[in-house]
Amino acid sequence: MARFLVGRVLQGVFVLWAAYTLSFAVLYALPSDPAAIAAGANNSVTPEQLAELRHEMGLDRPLAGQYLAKLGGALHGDLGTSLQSGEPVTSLIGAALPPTLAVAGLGLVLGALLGTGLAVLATVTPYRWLRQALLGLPPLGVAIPSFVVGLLLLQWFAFAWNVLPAIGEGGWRGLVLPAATIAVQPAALIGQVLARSMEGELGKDYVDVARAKGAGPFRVNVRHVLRNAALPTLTLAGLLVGGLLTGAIVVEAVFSRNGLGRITQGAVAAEDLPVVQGVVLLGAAVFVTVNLAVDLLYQVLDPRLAIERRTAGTARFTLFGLAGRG
Amino acid sequence: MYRTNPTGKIKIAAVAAAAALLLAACGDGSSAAGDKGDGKPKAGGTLTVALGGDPVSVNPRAVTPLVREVSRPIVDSLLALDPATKKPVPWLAESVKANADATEFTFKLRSGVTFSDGTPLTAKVVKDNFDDIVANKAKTAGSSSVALLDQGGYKGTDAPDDLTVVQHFAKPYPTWPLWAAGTAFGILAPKTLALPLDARFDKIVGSGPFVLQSYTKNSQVVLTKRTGYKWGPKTAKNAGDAYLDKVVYKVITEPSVRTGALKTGQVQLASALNPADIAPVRAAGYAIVAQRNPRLAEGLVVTGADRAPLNDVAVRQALVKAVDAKQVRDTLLTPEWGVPDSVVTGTTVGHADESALLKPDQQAAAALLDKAGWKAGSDGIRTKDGKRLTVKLGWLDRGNPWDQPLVELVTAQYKKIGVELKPELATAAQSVAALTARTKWDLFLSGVAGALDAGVGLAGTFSTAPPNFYNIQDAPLQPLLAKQATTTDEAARNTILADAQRRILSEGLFTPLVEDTNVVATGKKVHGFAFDADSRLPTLQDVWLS
Repeated sequence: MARFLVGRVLQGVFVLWAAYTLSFAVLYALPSDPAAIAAGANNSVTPEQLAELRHEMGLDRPLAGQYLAKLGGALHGDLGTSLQSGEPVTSLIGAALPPTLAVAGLGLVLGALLGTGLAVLATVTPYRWLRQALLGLPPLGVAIPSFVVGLLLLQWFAFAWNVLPAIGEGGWRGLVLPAATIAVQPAALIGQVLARSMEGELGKDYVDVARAKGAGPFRVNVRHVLRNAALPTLTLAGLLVGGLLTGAIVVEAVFSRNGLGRITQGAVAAEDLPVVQGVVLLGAAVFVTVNLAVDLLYQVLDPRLAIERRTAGTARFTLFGLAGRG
Repeated sequence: MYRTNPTGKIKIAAVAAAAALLLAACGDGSSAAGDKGDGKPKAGGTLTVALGGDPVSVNPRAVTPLVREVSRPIVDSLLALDPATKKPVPWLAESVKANADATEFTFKLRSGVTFSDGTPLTAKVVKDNFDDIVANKAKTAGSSSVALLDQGGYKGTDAPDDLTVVQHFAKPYPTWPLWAAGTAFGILAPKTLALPLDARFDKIVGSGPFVLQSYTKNSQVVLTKRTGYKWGPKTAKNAGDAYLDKVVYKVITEPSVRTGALKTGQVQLASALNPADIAPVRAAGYAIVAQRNPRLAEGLVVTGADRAPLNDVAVRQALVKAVDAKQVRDTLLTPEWGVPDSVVTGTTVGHADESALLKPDQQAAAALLDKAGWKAGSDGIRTKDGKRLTVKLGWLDRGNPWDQPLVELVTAQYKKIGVELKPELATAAQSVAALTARTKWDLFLSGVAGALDAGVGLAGTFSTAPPNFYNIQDAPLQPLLAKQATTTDEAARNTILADAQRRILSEGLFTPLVEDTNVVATGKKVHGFAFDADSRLPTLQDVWLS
């Protein structure tokens, strides 16, 4: 187990380095000039002033030198300062992380509960029409853009009925609408995948055995089928977490909240490269952690996988191979 | 020199506006028009203001579109501008005197002024402020503080005694008092100047009627009342402390949410209203305050005057005549927006009414093109020597909900005279690259460049001096642009500015489309709100809540 973990952590470090390097290459190879963007597209800036600004921003140094200096800083936890405000990137992201975590975390929990509930209900119900109606919801949830959901929720709950605040980070009441908005997509995805795989599991022999032993439909579905059907859904976790960041960009704009989404959007628009790189690094770190956690969870849910790995002897769970497992 | 908002806002504004319209029926429609009668001002309370975006920094010299709004109440300037006359009036300086050729300005400071940390305002502090701008010049390229000092060839500031400030310029700079009144030259406390530039974004100490409490990125700016404030500008109605105890600026990027929050009482003042929001908000009983921005009108700048087809002045003139700006206003905007009648908007100092040159006349436009040899083609687009009359337009999303339909409308208006417009939407970065490349676009939808005085916007956009961002070719215009900047006699200067505006329009170098307008809705308990001379949010010293 220890060997497995060390291997995975080393892999994770490699992924982080690769993400950092790749993002540097892509961002700095862009034909546009961050200094010109910072100074604004106006005639009052002379070419000499622009050259000076480039020097101040360290953009006139050779790319390799810039890369090494930045990588060295990043290894010491220094991601540089925002080109827009001068604020350190770490404190900028540090301040944006808690509000995003709150919304995304609550949204994910809500989405998982809703999605699971929907799948279980659709499988358990004896009524065909209810089943059809429930299974029609996930495609609808995926199809409606989340800003539409957000604006509709705002119009009803905040503006028309005035029961929840429309703006701001303050308190749990401000969390409800954004979390509900961000939960729609994960709920739809989880509901869809889980319902399909539960359907598949229901035809298997162990279900007949459980039924024969006198288990009711609820016990069969939740105790036996759900556990086995959860594996493909778990594989979605990495995708869902990525989706949450994109969801945050929209939700934070609609509900006027600070957070990673807003930071990302602002930094990309202004080509605030240090901030963009910080966000990429954080995103990579989250992916690595989530995938590691999913791998470990797999073994808890399905002990056969742990045995398989022990007999195979090597850590054959690669980050990318994992996706094919569903 | 206030910048347009370059952030590529998520394009949900249009949908949001549509959703707001659709759902307006579910909204609050019960409230009647509030009593806006100005009774006796009352002290106390918190004013929450909905801002359209994140100010990014509270440092008045930062290069961001909204820093002006949040820093104005914190820092005082040497002078203020009378909103009615746009003339400088005393603020931190009791008087200003220029020498005969306007290269030297002597400010007499008011005595007894202190910063909110208790340190007194002296001539030395003012000098340190300007020295600081020069010292940080490289890092703040593009900021209005740097650009406006450069414009006059700033040489330096002296402090001969505690209350006298003397500033020197290499060139005559008659408009300097106008700029000295701007937030970009707000006087910062020594405590703030001691910090490195990067560390100042949320630590600004000034002598204004409000004190910065906190800035939370993308969320809010909180100000509290400064007690013992008694040096407001001469035009302020309130001579002493501000009435409000606290001001909270909430960053709300969605226009429909700004007005929604106003209706639910989460904010009492919603800024940057979109045209579609105005009628429902007014119908719900809120006051609308609108003022045109003093600057260049939003319009089409010719960036391809050095090549066919726009190197022909007849084609350029035809394009100006093809456009009906009143139709733009009537279909896309509301009556709060004016119909542009010159290169700069009507509230700009030095504006000259050139509406005679801007009468839409499709027949005359068609005749000009006929004469220039562009014959009607089979599909309605004119051709000459086998070439179609196609004009490429670059534009970027500045977050204005009307820009997309505006481009479509202009495309349709051009088509009526047989000109094919090919618009291309670009990001801020792409447009910088495309304009630098010169040959990519024939026209560019320029936003809201320029400043309170027409000279800055005209010279900034139509000068051929490097970097000549818009690839301007018109040589006869250049002496006018140079001369207006240094002419000290006001009437003579206004004549030159009018000549320049006429030259630009008659040469077809610019087609004004929209007079950029600031629109604010105020809650029923808000009194005493009025825009500053530059159509931006005021110091809020006069605002009170009932």
